[in-house]
Formats: sequence, C-alpha cells, structure tokens
Amino acid sequence: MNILILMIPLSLLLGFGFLFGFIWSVRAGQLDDTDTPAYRILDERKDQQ
Amino acid sequence: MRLIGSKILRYAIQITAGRRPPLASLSQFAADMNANLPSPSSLVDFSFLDSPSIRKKYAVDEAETKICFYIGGIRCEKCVRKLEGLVGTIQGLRRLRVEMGKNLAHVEVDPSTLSFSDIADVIERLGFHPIPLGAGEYASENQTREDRSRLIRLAVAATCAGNIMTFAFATYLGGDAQLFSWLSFVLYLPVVTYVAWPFYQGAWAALRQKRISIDLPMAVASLAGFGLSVGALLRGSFDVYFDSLSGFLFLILVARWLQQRMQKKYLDAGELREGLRLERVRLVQGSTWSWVPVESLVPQQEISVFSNETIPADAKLLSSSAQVSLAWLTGESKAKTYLKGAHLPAGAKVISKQIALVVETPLAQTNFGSLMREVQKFSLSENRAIAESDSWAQWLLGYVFLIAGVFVALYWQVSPEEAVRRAFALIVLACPCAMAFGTPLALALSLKRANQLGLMVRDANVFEAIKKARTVFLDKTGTLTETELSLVEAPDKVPAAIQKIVLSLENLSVHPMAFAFRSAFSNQTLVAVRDHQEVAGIGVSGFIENQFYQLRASSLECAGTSCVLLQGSEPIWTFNFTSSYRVGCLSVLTSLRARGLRLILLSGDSPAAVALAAKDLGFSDVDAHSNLTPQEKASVIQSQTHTVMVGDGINDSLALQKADVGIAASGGVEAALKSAGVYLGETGVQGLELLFKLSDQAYSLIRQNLLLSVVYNVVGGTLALLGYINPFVAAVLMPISSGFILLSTWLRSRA
Amino acid sequence: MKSQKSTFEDIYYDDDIVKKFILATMAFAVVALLVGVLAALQLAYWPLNMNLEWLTFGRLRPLHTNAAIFAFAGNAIFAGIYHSSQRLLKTRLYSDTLSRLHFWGWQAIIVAAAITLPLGYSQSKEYAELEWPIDIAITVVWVIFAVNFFGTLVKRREKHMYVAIWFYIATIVTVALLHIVNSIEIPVSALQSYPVYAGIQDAMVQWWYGHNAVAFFLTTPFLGLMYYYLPKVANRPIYSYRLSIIHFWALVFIYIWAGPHHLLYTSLPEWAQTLGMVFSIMLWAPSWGGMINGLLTLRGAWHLLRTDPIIKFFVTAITFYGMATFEGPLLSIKAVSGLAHYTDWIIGHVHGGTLGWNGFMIFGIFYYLVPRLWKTELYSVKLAVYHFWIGFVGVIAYYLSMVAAGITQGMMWRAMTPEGRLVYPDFVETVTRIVPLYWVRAFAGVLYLVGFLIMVYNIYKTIKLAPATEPELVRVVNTRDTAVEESGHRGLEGSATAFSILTLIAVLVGSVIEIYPTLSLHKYVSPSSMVEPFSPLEMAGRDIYVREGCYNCHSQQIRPMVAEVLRFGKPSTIEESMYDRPFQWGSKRTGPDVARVGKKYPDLWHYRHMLNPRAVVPNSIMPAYPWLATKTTDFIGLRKKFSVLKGLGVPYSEEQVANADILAEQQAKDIANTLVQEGAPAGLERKEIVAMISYLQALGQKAKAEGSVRKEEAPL
Repeated sequence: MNILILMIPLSLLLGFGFLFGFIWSVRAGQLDDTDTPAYRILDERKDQQ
Repeated sequence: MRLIGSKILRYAIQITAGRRPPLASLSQFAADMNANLPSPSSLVDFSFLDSPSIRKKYAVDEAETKICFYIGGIRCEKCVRKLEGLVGTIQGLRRLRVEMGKNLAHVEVDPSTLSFSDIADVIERLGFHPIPLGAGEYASENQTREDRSRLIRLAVAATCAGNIMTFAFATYLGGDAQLFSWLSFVLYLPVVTYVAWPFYQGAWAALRQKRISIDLPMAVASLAGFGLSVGALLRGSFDVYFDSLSGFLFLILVARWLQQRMQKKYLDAGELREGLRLERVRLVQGSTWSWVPVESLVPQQEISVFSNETIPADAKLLSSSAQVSLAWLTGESKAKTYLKGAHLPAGAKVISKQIALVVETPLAQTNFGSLMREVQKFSLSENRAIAESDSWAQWLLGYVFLIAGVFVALYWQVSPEEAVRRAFALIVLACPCAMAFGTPLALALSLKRANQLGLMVRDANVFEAIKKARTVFLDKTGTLTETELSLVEAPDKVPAAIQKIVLSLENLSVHPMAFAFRSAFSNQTLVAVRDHQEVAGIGVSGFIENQFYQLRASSLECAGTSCVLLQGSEPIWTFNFTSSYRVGCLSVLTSLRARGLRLILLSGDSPAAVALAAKDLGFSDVDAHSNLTPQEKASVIQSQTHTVMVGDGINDSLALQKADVGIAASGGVEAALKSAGVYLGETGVQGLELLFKLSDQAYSLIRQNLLLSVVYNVVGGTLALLGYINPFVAAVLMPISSGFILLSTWLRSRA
Repeated sequence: MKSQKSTFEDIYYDDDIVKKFILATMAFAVVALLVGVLAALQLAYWPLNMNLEWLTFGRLRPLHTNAAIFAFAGNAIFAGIYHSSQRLLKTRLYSDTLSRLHFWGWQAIIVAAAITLPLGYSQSKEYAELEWPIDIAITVVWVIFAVNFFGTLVKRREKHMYVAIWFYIATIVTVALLHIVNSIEIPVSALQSYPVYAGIQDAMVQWWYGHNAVAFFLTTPFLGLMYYYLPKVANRPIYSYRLSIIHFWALVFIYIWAGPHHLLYTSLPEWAQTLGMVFSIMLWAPSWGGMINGLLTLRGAWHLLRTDPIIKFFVTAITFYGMATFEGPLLSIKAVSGLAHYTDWIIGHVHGGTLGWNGFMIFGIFYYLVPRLWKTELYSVKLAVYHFWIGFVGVIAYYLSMVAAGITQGMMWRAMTPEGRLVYPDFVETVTRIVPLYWVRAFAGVLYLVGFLIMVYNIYKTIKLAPATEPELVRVVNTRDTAVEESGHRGLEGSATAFSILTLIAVLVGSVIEIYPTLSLHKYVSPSSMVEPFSPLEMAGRDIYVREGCYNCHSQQIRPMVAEVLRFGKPSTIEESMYDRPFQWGSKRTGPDVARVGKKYPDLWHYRHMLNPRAVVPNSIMPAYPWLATKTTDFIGLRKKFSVLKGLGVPYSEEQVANADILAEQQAKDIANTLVQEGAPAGLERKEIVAMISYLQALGQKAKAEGSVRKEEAPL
C-alpha cells in the first residue's frame, strides 16, 4: 500500500499539471485569437525570396 | 419630420442573423463613405484623430499609445502580412497585431515619432479602411475575462471529470474500489464547488424571484449527488456518483458554451459599424475644405458632401438643387430632389454631385444620430435571440421535484437509501432540454430565417405571441396603402402656366403632395414667389406676378385626397391624388382571415376614405374604424386579448406598444426598436404572412421537441423510479437526449 | 519615458544546424533502409546473414529500428524543429554551441548504436536496446536539446506560441521522461546492465515507453511539423486552428494512458488491460481530428496534388496517419488483438506509420527545405515525382503483404479441428506458408529504398548546383506585450518552463498510476506460488539469449486462449517472469513461443537445433548459431551479476552470489556430460551453447509448486 501514498498526491498533480498548462495559456491570452496565428505563419517576407 | 431607417436595419438584421452581406454589397457600402474621390488627395485625412479630446476618446490606454482599428476585409495572409509587416518599416510603430476573426488591428505607437493619424493614414494607403474604435466597441477586457474564465471552468471540469471517469472505470473493471472512490471524492471537490458554481448562482437567483430555473436540477444534482456519495463513503459503501455527476456537469457546460458561442456569432456587429460610421466631414473654409471629426460640427458651419457620401447633420441646402436618397431612413430607394434652402436630414445619401450645406443640428441631436445609437445598442445587446427558459421548463421541473419528493416520502419505509437513490436518478435524468435548449434554438433559428427573408424580428417571444394571436388590427395609410401620393390626372392635361405656379408655390415643401407635383411636372422652370407661406395642415400661399395664389387641401369629402388651387379666392384647378394599395395586400388579408383571425381596420382617416378601403379590402362595417386618435386606437386594442397591431411606426407607436405584438409596416426606426417587435421593412405587408408561417414552423418544431421530451421524461422517469435506471445511466442518458434534441432541431430548421 | 526596447531587429537564423541535421538524416536513412531490406530478405531467405553473427536477424532488427527511429526520424525531427521554431518564435536558436553539441552528440550516439547493436550489446527492450552508457549519453544530449529549445522559447519575439510549438514541447518533455524512466538500470559491466524492474513491471514500463515512443517521438513532433510545413507548402492556413489546439490537448491527455494495449491477454491485471484498450479507442477521435484538419487545409487546392510532389507526399503521409491511427485502436480491441498480436500484421501497422506517415512527411519537408536553405531550385521535380510513386507502391505493397501474412498466420495458429485439435500443430507450417509474402515485403522494401536513393541523388545534385550564399539578415518584429512585462507579470514568461516541468510531473504521475499495479506485484503473487530464480548458468544462458536478440522472433508469454494453450501449454503467469530482468515476453512470433519449452526436448535437440535448425525442423527459417559452440561462457562475470541481482531483490543466498561462477561451471559440466551421452562431441562445458541450453531447459520449469500459479483476484 505504500505506493498509494505516493500515488494519490501525484495523480492529483497529473490532472492539475495539465490544467495549469492550459490555464496558463488561456490567461496569457494564447487562446484569445484562434484565427490569425494560422495565417501569420505564412508570413515570411524575406524567407520566400 | 420623422425619418425611417430601413437599410441600416437591414444590415443590423443581416448581421444579427449571422449572415454576412455579400462581399460586393458590403464593400460598396463601405466605399460609400469615401468613394468617388480622385486619388491620392482623396485619401481620408485622419488628422482629427490627433486632437486631444478625440485622441483620448479612442486611445485604449492611459498613456495614449494604443488604439484599436476596425478593419473590414482582412481575409487572407497577405492582408495580415501587409499590416503586421508595417512594424519594422514604420518608425515609431511599436506593435500592430491583427485579429482576423474580429477584423481588428491593435496598434501601439511611440507617440513621440508616430501619431494615431499617421498610422491610420498608412493603413488607409494600403487600401484598407481603418475605423478607430472607441472603448466598449470591441471585445472589452471584461468580455475577454469572461470568455477566459468560462474556458478555464470548462478545463477544470474536463480534467476532474476525465480523471474521475478513469478511476470509476478502473473500479468497474475490478480495481480497488475504496481507493478509487476516495480519489474521486477528492477530485469531485473542485467540481462541486468551483465548476458547479454558476448553476448555484443561477438557481438561487431564480428562486429569489420565485422561479424555478433550469439551473436548479443541475444544482440539486450536484449537491445531492455529493451528499449521497459522501454518505455512502462514510458508511463504507462505494456506491458513489462522482463520475456520473462530474461528466454530467461537464457536458452541460460544454452545451452552454457552444450555445453562447453561437449566440455571440449571431450578434457580432462588427461589419455593421463599417457602414454606419460617420467619422469625418469636410468643413468648408473659404475656397478649400478640410476633414474634421463629425463630433466637432456646430450649427452654421458650412460643409461639403460629395456624391455617395452621407449627410452628417440635419442641414440646409446651399447648392441650387440636390438629389438625395433617403434609403437608409425610409427604405425608399428612389432619389428625391430638393431645392436650395430645403432642409436635408442627416443620414440622407447624396446622389447628385457634390453639394454644400449649412449645419443646422449636429449629428448627435438628430434622429439619425439617435438611430445610430439605437442600432448599435440593438446589435450589441446580448440575450435577445435566446428566450428565457419558459414556463414549460418550469412546469416540468416543478413536477419532477414534486414527484421525487413524493416518491421519497412513500418509498422511505421500504428502503430510505433506495428511495433517495431512485429519486436522485429521476432528477438527473429529467431533461428540460427540449425547453432549455431546443426551444430557444428553434426560436433563434426561426429568428435568423425571418431576418434572412428581410423581416426584422426583435426577439423570439414574438413568435409565441403571433402563434396565440386572435385579432389583427391594421392601420390604413402607409400600412395597407402607400404613403406616397400621385396625381390622378395626366400631367400634360394641366396647362403649363398652372404647372409653373403650383411648382413654384410648392418649391420648398416636403408635403407628400409637393413631391407628387415635383415628379409630375418635372420639366417646368420656376418663377419667383413673394410672401411665400406654408401652413401645416392648410397649404401654401404666395404672390406670383402680383397675383395671390394659394394651394389648399380640398374641403370636399372624397375617398382620395385632393387639393385646390385658388387664384385670389377663385378656385381655378383641382388636383386629385390617389394612394394605391400596397402590393399583395388583399391576398395577405385573405390568407390571414383563412387562419381564423379577426381583422380590424383602425384609421385616423375620414369615414368615407375608410369605408372605401374597407369595401375594397373586405372589412365589415363593424371592423372598420375611422377618425381615431392614437389614444383611441390603443384603447380599441386593449379591449381585446391576443392582439397584433400592424401600423405605422410613428403615428401608431402607442397602439403598437399596447398590442401583444406590434408590427411596424413603416415608420421610424425607434418605433421598430422600441414599440414594435417586428419591422416589416422591404417585405411590405406580405411579410405578415411570412411571419405567421415562420411562427407555425417554429412551434411545430417546438411541439415535436416537447413531445419527444415528454415521452423521454415519462418513460425514463418511470423506469428510474422503478429502479431500472441508476443515476450513472441517467447521467449518460440526459446529455444524450439533449444532444439529440439539439441536433434534430438544428437539422429541421435548416430544411 | 523608459528606454523602449526596440520592436524589430535584423537577425540571422541558424540555418547551418538545420542543414547539418538534414544531411545526417539523409545519410542515416540509407543505413536504416538498407539494414531493413537486409533483415527482410533474411526472413525470406535465412542464409542471408552470411553466417556472420553480427548480421543475424536478432541483432539486425534492433539496429534497423533504432536507425529508423532515432537516426532517420530523429535527425529529421531536429532539422524540422530547429528550422520551424526559429521562424515561429522569431529568434535565432538559444545557443549555437548547444546546437552543435546536440548535433554531434546525437550522431555519436547513432554511431555507437551502429557499433554496439551488431556486437550484441543490447538490453533487449524494443526501441530501447542501447546499453547504459549510451542511455546516459542520450539523456545528456536530450537535455542539451531541451535547454536549447526552451532557451529559444524564453527569448522568443513572437507572443503567440503556434500550435506546432506545443507539440514540440510535449515531445521534448515526454521523451525525456520516457527515456529516463525506462532506462533505470544497474550496470554489471561496461556494456551490460539489468533493469531495476522485473517481469511484469519491466513489461509495463517498457510498453508504456514503447507505445509512447511512437506517440511522442513519431507522432507529436510530426504533427507539429505537419501544422507548420503543410500550410507553408500549400500557402494556405491550417483548416481550423481551433481544432488543432483541441487536437493537441486531447492527444497529450489520452496518449499517455494507452500503453497497456501492447499487453492484452498477458498476465497484466485485467482492468489495466481494459483501461489501456479504452484509452486507445478514445485516441481515435483526436487523431482523426488532426488528420481531417490536415487534409481539409487543402480544400480548394486539390490541384496541387497533381502538380506538386511535396503536396503528394504530405497528403499521402496524412492519409497514412489516418489509417494507422484508425488501425491502432482497432488492433487494441481485445478480440482483434487476439488474432493480430505476435503476427506480421503489427509489422505492417508500424511500417504504415513509419514509412507512410513519418517517411513521407520527412521527404515532403526536405523537398521543401533543401532548395530554400541552399537558395536554389530543386534539381528535378520529375525525379521527386518518381520517388513519390516508387515509394508509394513500396509502402502499399509492404503494408498489404504484412497484413495478409499476419491474418493468414493468426488464423492458422488458432485453426482447430472439430475434435478440438490444432489444424497446424507444427508451428513451422504457419511460417513457411507466409514466406512468399516475406519476398513481397522484401521487394516492397527495395522499392522504398530505390525511391529514397533517387531522392538522395536529387538532393545531392540540388546542393551541388546551389550557388555559394551568405547567411541572410531577416527582419523580425517583437510582438511580445511589453505592457505585460512592465506591469510585473514577468513571471508569466517563465511559465512556459514551469509548464514543461509540470507536464513532466504530470506525465510521470500518469505513468506511475499505470505502472502501479505492477509495482505492487506482491498483491498478485500469492506467497505459496513463488518461483525459483534462475541458476547462475541459466542466467549466463539468458544473457546470451538476450544478446542474440531471440526475443525478436520468440515470445515468452502464452495467452489464455485455447489454441495457444494446446500449442504451447498453460497460460503464462505473473509469477513465472517475476525475476526476469529484462523481461522477455517479446512482441512477435516468427518462431514459436518458448515460455514452456523447458524439458520439452532433450538437450541434444537444442544442441543440434542451434548449430543447424533445419537438422531438427526441416523447413525452419531460423539462422544457425554455430558460434555458440565455439565461444566461451563468461563465468567470472556471474558473481558480479548475481550480486547486482540480489541487490535488486532476487532471493539469492550470499553463498550463491559468492560461488556463482563455480555453481555455473558445475551445472555446465552436468549438461555437457548429458550432451556427450546423447551423442554430441565432448568439451562443450565452457561453451556458450551449454549455458544457452540450460536456460532454455529452465523455461517454464521454475514454479515451486504445481497448481499454485493462479492469479489472485483480490482488489488492487
């Protein structure tokens, strides 16, 4: 049963670790505009020459 | 004179309906502002953006370094590249970030080297039409914050539900039940507190108003499920519902999120502003002009308006004549001719070449100004499209809770645990989704459809009232008949001298008859009129070549309208005018009657005129009222129930308000927005029939949903109470049934 | 006003490192494909190992897989990530030194692998065969890569992290974790080690690793590359950026759980198997979301498919991704797995993924990159088209032949007469039946190789004809929100790093949960059913078994299915492999299962079989192992090995450890005597073949008490 004592807090970390990543990206505004980034990468002024 | 704004409304409609106007018409529309000017001097001068007050108004931040432009037509990466590529080439441009979905460009400048007008100029030169947006005109900080918190809540729900489901699954498959149940308990804590919080809020707010809201079963399920499960855990049983509940709440949140997104999409008014905005105006200074912000205009200033531009203030015409279109205001697309000295309303579009005007009333105080504000408010306000959860849902939920309560009371003797369990399953299973999601969706889609067909329906509740209507009141003039008059006699039968006199007398008048004369006698030159007078309701008079003439309304009672020209006191000519019935008028009335509706004619016109129309249109004498004041019209309507009033937006506004549904067939925009629920706009009276048809369709869909829902709830509820459906299955069935209803509604309304 | 950080700068991208990785990819791809073709030919015609121990299938296959995954795909990933990240993040890579260390370190690892694997230094864990010093080197180089990447991320000038970047982050973080967890081992010599995990634990960790190596080495980085290069090549934005974000989060969340589908019908607890199966099936949704997103990007531009070979490669690659991710969940359904597992269907499945998805993505990207980086035109578009079609036919032929072979063999294994007997009791019958398909496969491999050689020529000419150019200044704009930084939210900037760490922890936890049942092995192993650990000589034989890569063709795991039990004996139990370090369950049965081969045949049979398999099994396709009869067993090393094993918890007595070599020599003498009695030549007691025989004869013979091998059904 020893492993369980490790597993319970860690399993919570699993969920909330991913969650943290997601929340960070939402808060940082990474997901505010989900249209333009797809177009923006096509912009390579010099690279295309 | 009140003016009407149908074209603006059309755009409001199209945009609220989520349908973008065709690109060509839009760009034409946008070009209206500044087209027809020779380049490059034609480029808009944005220098007004640099005046301190304007600057402050549009700056996003305190330091006045950031500004947000609405830029229509960013549709490909080339536009993004062109715009964002400015950074690095323009000195002092710190940032330019395009947001395509919203057609916005967020700009930050170094004010010491680059002003707002500079960057606007540059953008304009690239071929875009930047429109600076003031605070509150684009997704505000609040809105963004709300969106983000919604997304975060969804993510928390997903994470917890996902993990709880995994644990639950492990348990079902033979994993350690005790371990996984307690783990689920821990993971359910954020769900029961944070995730479910909006449900508690909604349920509580409704309860305080003594209503049962759709949030209530979610709130009860969340809390009761938590209580039951914790109780079970404490007793050492692992009969817990954390998995089903968290999944259930997650799915409900997803459904709501989608619904809100759909709604927001319909209500995005971005493109509307492109057409509506009157930013700048040419102020004439001596022989030249310069752009100034519209806000800065004061009376008596002279302005110049070019072809295809919109007159930015109520103003007096200085040029000898002007052809203008009142299309935005009245829906009438035919150009009207005004002569020097005439008063032109703000919002009129100049058709002829450049004209000069003197400002009389600045935009903000004009009808058009308030109309613009109204339209913006209208298009930006939320929750119009989606009706509140209606009485059906409350009814169902009330019963569900009642049955659950009674069941627990009765079954308590047999097994308290089982009683609570089954009642709980019932609550989870009971799906008011037909009402909560299906009905609003059906209504919203009907709304969209109506708007696509050219009807402006303010909110979905109209459909319900239309469905219940028993009596339809109709105004005559402007509703069943055209407002415009035309001469009965052929113009060539009128002697040229008389034509000249009449036309000169009516020169500056805006009376319908004056327009009729102008269009009939278009070839005549004018003669000078001395002591010219126009008395409203009586007529015009003046001296021509020392002879006194007056043109006055005829005292004769006749069906049409007429006026008489007097030389001195001697009548020398009588003009008769008619106004025709609107297209399709009779067939619409016939079809309405066929629905079993009672039609009543309410008119302020003379009994003779009304009697004639009543005869033509098939109203019985009892149902044709004449000589009514607006107050009298209103009281007639109030004497009946389930009423629909169709009338003019201005004269009948009181009547329109008093009826269950007010339908403006013409008239002011404010009326359409405030007093009437429906504006027929260009569809004319034929739109009435459409409206009834759409209402039928919506309600047949809603009835079908209700039927499905009743069957589902009765069958499911019975099975739940009999113990055949456990809470877990219930939590699976409920979102499935919601999804089914949403899907079927969506598919059927598309057909 | 504070001094404003300049909003745009002119910088040089580091394209030299990208070129290096591209050239390395091309070079090692030739090796990987050549070795693959040779291995395929050996299965069709066994003498092709040319009697060289370094070229036997058991040693070649790990070389092939490692070269394909880490040298070919790996170098291509680095090229793509380094190229696209600089442009997506609008900055030069964090450190040129780290970039070079990364490059040369990685190539050194590949060379080390290419030397050690044929020599038989192997941990025998699929795609993780490399021995401990190389494992450490991989860790170091990967950390260098991670520091370089995250450093670039931190100094980026672009505010938004494009979805490809997220895929790269997931790749870097997860692969680091997978590699470290799976490589925890105790060295016993310079080039040998034992894993800390044993038996089912080792199997669980290994397949958690193996599955996720596919997920996070061959899938997420390539999806990131797809999300960057497909829009670039087609010059149109990805169909739905929103969908790509959902794709990412869904994929990373679900993928990590799907590992146990490699262990269906094994002695892994039932619920863990089913959980793995459910997650595998759930994977179907995000995977297809990604595929649809990729394909729909080309809506309205399908004409490019006719004209542009790069688009041909991409579309085919994405289609193969779709097929493989549809087939994967299908194969992880227990019923399907029951038929397909251990057969060539799985080989077809992975090659559909690697040749079709990874290979064609790489080719497409390189045809795009090389002319751009060398500032020239592609030498010949026509040759690229030829490459495409030849390669395409190759992949299809490969896939179809292997699926056909797999299903044929799977059906033959389970075919029963009405009386309940096996229709094909001789295993070798089921092998010879599919040898023609092995020829087809080998031919398909040759086609793929030929296509690739055309590419090599094309790229060579392109570069050769390219003008000498100077690196080019690029103007990049800083779009990061200065206001946010200034208002004290600078902490957010470090969040990307914090996120990575948390992801690491998160993945670790997910993994712990998954591996958990195996760590609590004692709960499943009843005390009365313990098995004996291997004797010293058996252990020595086992190490030879591992060295020769026998697991590549022989499983040691009998599934609880009637046909299987009839053919091989009772189903394997957890206990039987509880001291297996590394576990040898295997994943493919080119030869029969050997879990219970012990005492099935006399020692002499094994002796003759090893020297010439066809002497006892006429149609066998197994290579001969004559060197086992000449090489000497390493008796001395056994003491060290036993002390390590004892340290890991194997119940050896101090005496056994101290006398391991002596005990082994005694047992060897006994076996050698037996062999002599049975007719073999004398003097074999110090030879490896005796150790090998002792191990084989011990397989399935170690249970202490009959009937005690039941699986305990107690809750976890």
